[in-house]
Amino acid sequence: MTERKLLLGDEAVAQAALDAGIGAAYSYPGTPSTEIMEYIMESEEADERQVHRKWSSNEKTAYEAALGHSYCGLRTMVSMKHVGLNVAADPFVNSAITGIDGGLVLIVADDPSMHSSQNEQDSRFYGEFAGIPVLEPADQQEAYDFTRNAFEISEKFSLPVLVRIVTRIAHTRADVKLAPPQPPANFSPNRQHNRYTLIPLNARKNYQLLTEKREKIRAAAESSRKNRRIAGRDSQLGIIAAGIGFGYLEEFANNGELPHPCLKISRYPLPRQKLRDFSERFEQLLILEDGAPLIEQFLQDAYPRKKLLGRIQGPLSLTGELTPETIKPALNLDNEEQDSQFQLPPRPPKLCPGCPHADSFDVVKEFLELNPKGRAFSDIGCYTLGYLAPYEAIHTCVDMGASITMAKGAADAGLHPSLALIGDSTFTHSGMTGLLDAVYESTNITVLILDNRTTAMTGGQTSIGADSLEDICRGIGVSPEHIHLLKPLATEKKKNLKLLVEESNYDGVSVLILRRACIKLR
Amino acid sequence: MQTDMIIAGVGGQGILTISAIIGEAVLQTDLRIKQSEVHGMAQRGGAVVSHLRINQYPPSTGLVPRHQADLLLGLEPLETIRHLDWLKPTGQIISSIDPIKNIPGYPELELLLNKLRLNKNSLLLKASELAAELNFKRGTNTLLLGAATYHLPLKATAVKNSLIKKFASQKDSILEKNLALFERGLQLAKQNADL
Repeated sequence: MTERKLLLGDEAVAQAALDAGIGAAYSYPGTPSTEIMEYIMESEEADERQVHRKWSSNEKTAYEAALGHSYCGLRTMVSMKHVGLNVAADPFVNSAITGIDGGLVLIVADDPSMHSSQNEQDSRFYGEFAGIPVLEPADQQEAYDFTRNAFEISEKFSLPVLVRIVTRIAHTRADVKLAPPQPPANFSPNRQHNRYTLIPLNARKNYQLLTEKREKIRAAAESSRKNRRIAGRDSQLGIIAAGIGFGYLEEFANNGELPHPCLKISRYPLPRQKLRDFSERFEQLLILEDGAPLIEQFLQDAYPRKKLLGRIQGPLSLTGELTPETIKPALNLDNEEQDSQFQLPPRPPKLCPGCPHADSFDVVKEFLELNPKGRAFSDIGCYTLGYLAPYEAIHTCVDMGASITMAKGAADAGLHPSLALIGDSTFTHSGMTGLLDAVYESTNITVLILDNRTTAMTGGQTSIGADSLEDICRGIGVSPEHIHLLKPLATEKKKNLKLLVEESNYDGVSVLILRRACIKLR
Repeated sequence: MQTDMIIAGVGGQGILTISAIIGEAVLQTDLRIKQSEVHGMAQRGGAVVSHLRINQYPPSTGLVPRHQADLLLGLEPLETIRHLDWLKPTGQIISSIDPIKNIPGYPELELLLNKLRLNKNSLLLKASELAAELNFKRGTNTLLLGAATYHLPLKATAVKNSLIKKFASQKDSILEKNLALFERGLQLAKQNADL
């Protein structure tokens, strides 16, 4: 009997990687991908097999470590959220050119509707861009099955494979049937140094090889069962449904029969011929993609005169995730029930009672009242909630590490005081190099490292550099007399404010480390 | 037949725990489940919701469409109301009446409860008071879970087994108190349905 387990989509992916015999998993936490790595970390079988599994500094270091592990012939998984792939884009794109040894599977969790993110970029485009296969599961069972299969595809073509999931796959639990596990491969480091040494002499050959592989993986996507037609009742409309879009379509099945014939898409590069063959049979097409219109844009270019229902021409919105409700109008189904109209006060997230960040923001807020020309550039973490009332103490949040570098650029432009507020984990993720830029020029910025000893926003993962923040700042070259350790407490507020005023007047880089553990830490 | 359920409340109240207990109970049967939840930023004291679907076939996705839920379990009255649009006209409401006033402009409680009482299938529970009666103030969620179980296509023993598993590592007295509260909730839902 096959084993059945109740798993989040994230956990199904993780279990699949373990069952595929990975030697290591690498990651940096980020909603909605965090639970992939957490599952592997807590797994007893991973422990027994001594699967390497530690958090990395950021997604780029995670990806590179995964490539090195694959280089040794062992299967490897690296997981991140969609914007994490921007950070890892350099090794990601180039690993398509080196190729891989042990199967290398990249799991990216996109966040359409931005439940916990700053944008809703669609990682399928990254797959097309790098020229690698992408698999897109429609549910948790497929998340498991496809991840297992992704390792085989990776090794077959010697390419990394991207498995793209979305929040509603990642954070939905389902009973998943598991397949028998495979033994890990043997350690055997690569010997083809020309493949991994991308000097132009080698890179040109490898890049040529990648263009040939692109045709092969496209042909494989054309013939794959992952891209298949499914019968439906009414042929007035043809539906192309990708990933979880197919799940939402199934919502409207009657006794297992879809309302219209469907081409289910789960494997990329785009199977262009299959899309054409299907599309030519219908006057009207509906395209369901939970992300940006990748398939729809291709069809619009191929058939400029065809009636295409989707995100570009409507009725679906260009932004936001798909839901059963949003696709109803496209299926000519009315919303019979009226929504109630009463107004309720919203309940946005907020800092926990007793949070150390609240005490830091009290100081910053008062500082900004004293210095209305000042700005507080901030970053990504729980402390981004400092933007909201009652604190209203930060003015920016763009990408991991941007607080320090934006503060620097603003100071270069003449802004003063220019504060950077960054968490401990975000600092070691992407803040350190920016700090070096400021130290190099002795830019007049004041960096507040909000050190709560953990990666709190994603649930309290190890902040791998939190124990060496002072050393790191000294090592980068911040003058020791301008590095201060403070305790963010109401009783220390006066003292902390005084120090902040003093250091903001110092014409150079100052670092104030506001250290108090997150109240959620056990 | 599919049973669609919404569990609504405030981050930190234990919505994900309740969902996981029901999920484990489903796994003891031949039924299939999909349950969608909210992680990340919203868990910091914001509005949190879990969608749960049980069927003999795998439900299509984890999201319950609006006006389709058979059961709305609210751990907090304002959050119950926030999710009323998910309930079908004949759907059942089970809600705690204990407010969490961590926001400015929290409406008058009586207004909220009156709104909920307009629905004839609503069971409003003084959860904290009932839990205190059984000397286990922290057990409000178990009480509500008991009441909800009455409306789920699951045997109460399956959910109980799942509870036992959940509290296996804790003291016997904690488990016993939880089981007592579960029974109390179940009984209240049954009485309410018999009216």
